[in-house]
Amino acid sequence: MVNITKALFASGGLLLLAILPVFFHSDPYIMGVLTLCLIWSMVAASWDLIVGYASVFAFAHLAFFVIGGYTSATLAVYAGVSPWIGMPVGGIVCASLGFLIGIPCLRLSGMYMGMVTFSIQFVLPTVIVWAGPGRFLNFSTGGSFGLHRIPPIEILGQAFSKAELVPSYYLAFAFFLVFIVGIYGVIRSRIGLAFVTIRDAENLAKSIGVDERKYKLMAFAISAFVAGAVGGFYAHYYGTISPALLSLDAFLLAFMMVLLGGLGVFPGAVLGAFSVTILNELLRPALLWRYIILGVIVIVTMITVPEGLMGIPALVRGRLSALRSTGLIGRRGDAAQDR
Amino acid sequence: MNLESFANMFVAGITLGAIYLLMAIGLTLVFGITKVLNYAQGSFFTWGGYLTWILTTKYVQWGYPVVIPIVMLVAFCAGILFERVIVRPLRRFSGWETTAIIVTLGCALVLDNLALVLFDPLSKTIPNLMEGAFRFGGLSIAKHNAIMIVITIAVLVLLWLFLEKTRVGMGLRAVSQDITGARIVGLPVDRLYGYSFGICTALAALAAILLIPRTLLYPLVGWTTLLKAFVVIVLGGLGNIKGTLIAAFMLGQAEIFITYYVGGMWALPIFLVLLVATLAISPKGLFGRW
Amino acid sequence: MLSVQNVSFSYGDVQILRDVSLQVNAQEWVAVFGPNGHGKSTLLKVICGLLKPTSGSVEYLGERIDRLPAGEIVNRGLIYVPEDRHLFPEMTVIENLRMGAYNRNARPNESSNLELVFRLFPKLERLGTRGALNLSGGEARMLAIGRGLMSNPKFLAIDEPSFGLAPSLRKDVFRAIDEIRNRGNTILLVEQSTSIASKFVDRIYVIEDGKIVFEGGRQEALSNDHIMETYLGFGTEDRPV
Repeated sequence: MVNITKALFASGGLLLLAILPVFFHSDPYIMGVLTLCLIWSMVAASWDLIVGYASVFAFAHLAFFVIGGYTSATLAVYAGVSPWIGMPVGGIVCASLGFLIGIPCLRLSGMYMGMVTFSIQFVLPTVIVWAGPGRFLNFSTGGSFGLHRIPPIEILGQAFSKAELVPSYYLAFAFFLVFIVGIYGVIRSRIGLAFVTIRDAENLAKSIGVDERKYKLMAFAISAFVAGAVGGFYAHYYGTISPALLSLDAFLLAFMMVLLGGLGVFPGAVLGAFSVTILNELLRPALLWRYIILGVIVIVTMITVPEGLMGIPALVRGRLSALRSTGLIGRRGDAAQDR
Repeated sequence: MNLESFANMFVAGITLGAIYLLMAIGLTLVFGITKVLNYAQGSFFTWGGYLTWILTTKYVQWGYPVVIPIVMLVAFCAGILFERVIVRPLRRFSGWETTAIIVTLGCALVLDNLALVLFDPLSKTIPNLMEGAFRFGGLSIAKHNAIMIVITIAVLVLLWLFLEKTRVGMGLRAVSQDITGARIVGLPVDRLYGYSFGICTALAALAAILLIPRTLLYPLVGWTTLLKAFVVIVLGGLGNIKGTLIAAFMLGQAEIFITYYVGGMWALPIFLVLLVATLAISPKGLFGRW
Repeated sequence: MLSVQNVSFSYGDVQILRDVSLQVNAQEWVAVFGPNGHGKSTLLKVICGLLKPTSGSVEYLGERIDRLPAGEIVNRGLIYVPEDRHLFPEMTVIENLRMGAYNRNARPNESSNLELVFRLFPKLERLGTRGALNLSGGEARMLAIGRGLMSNPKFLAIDEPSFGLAPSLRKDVFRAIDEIRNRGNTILLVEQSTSIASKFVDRIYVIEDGKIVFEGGRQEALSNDHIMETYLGFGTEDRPV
């Protein structure tokens, strides 16, 4: 059953996204930010699938993003492999890693899963830097400076790099449609249904034989695939990739997107991604204080609206009803009772 | 490798194990009592280091017998404040475990970058607890390491006595065993939550004072220690004291040998791989009982 | 002493208590009977501060307590002994009892209360250092009540003290509670085992579907055929006198 209001909002949103370049096509900064928003939407939505819907504390998402990015980038830079092959390969590599880690770790209680996956993100830079310049004869990850001059995605001679404002935006939009619809499909499918059942009625789920572990593993692999593939897109779009994405601030920014949009509330992650990306841009002038301010915003937001943006209507409704009970404002329909 | 260097490495392994034990016990304590995993503990570790630096190097040169209690006390108060201002407001909401993670991480981000802004990214050093070494026959043990072990044992014994014999300590244990029971007997649960955070951060600060003289002080120094403590906890089992003890010392020794053969930076990656492999074979960690 | 006025309680969309009012006077022993799952335990939890009522108020010794934290209510002498005991599993019997005396009002009387507990439940004294996890149902029940006593109560709210116990143990528990009452305490009891309870209590409430459907003295209840059969489960033959 599709909620009519939601469908309207969704279509309206998609339409808006589709026509934005009409207004901003000449501004590289804004187009860049908008494209980035689309990219992060895909990352956030896939993260929401595993953390919000499957309720798994899987914190290795950015690690997958970066691994996928490096995979596609190195394939392109060192082996001349086309990004159209590189991106799915990156996705598959990450999905496989997801399986490898998921099989032992998903058995653990939530906190442990969180600790282990969180650590992966922080261990990765060490490995990447180690495999940097000079280590191997024919290959380097670029160390802490990262890989540069990554070839862009191409279709029939048209390159889709950051310099190509409008084409890249629409390519990202196309990926966005595919992945968001895909994730929505997963949520509506048996897998997603299994999670809602597990979330709302665990004993019932067990008694009808819903294999929680199997579904969690699938969700983990799927979300890892998306992260890895989108990581590849990111690498080819920007032309560079570095371990800077594996820092704590990157993690918080990305996770905030998921939380702000509301865990397990479908299009929320997209809203969250747009909000946080734009917020991050607005904070840039603060230089070193940027992350301090960001941290404070994270803390304050979570204390006041832990359900994220989706929690605001309920918060407002709560305050309104509190105000109403003091008699200061009336209820709808009171006027009809005026004598 | 001769006997002397092996003995030295063994002692170094024990000291590392002591550090991880302090961090792990702090985390376990807080988690057992408040059900919150303090992801910001690494940043409290870092700040313990910077505070010590201020008091022993930067502005004054006080001796450690004075500095250690001061830093631990400040850390304790900071922990209580942290619980009160940042963690407590979350409890109103359901699903606060996820929010608690991100809020503690947010705090870590603020603390880390505050350190970066206030103290600049260049590494600093803090002095050893004591210079020189003890010599027994052919073996020598750095005095700093020896003191590390003594202090850790003393602190852990004191902590054990506190938890077992004092009223507040028993109150803390009661809260971790049955929170409703604790409310029924009228325990001041909020205050006890605050104390447990305070103990956790104080232990982190102590770990910093003990470890950092052997390495360098920089704004992100707490993270590797925190993550290694995570590995210790998962291996040993959250809440399993004996398991945590064994895991801490095993990993301490392992790290020394990893450092000797392939370099210290590989310790954490290898730990993680070993951890995942262990879990694949034995899902309850090495010692089960979570 | 205790006055519950028009208390309602909902858990999400489910309303468990509807407009419940009840009174307990000093040194009375009042029982709340009723079918399982109809709100008896919830009522006790609301009274003792573990749950906050959605509407209505609870007054104790003339003071409103429904907004107070549980710790404050304990400090005023209103002690709750829950059905699922909530003992501290990794502590011994003695340690559990000691924890009962944690709050500041109970501390000065700790040793005299301990003596009292051991007199009422001699088995607990013998079990002393046994871990709370290793107790039988009856022993755990006694420990829970004993721990409640250590908190220096003036008012004890006990949920199903005899649940799951053998009949002889039940009598012991009720005799102990009777003695506690006779020492000046007020008792509010929630029980399934109506036959035994009816021998001891002063007044009875019956709750069904979250509402009070009967209120009356012991004799009144015993002579009311409808109440006896429908709610208290007695046929005409096995009524207590």
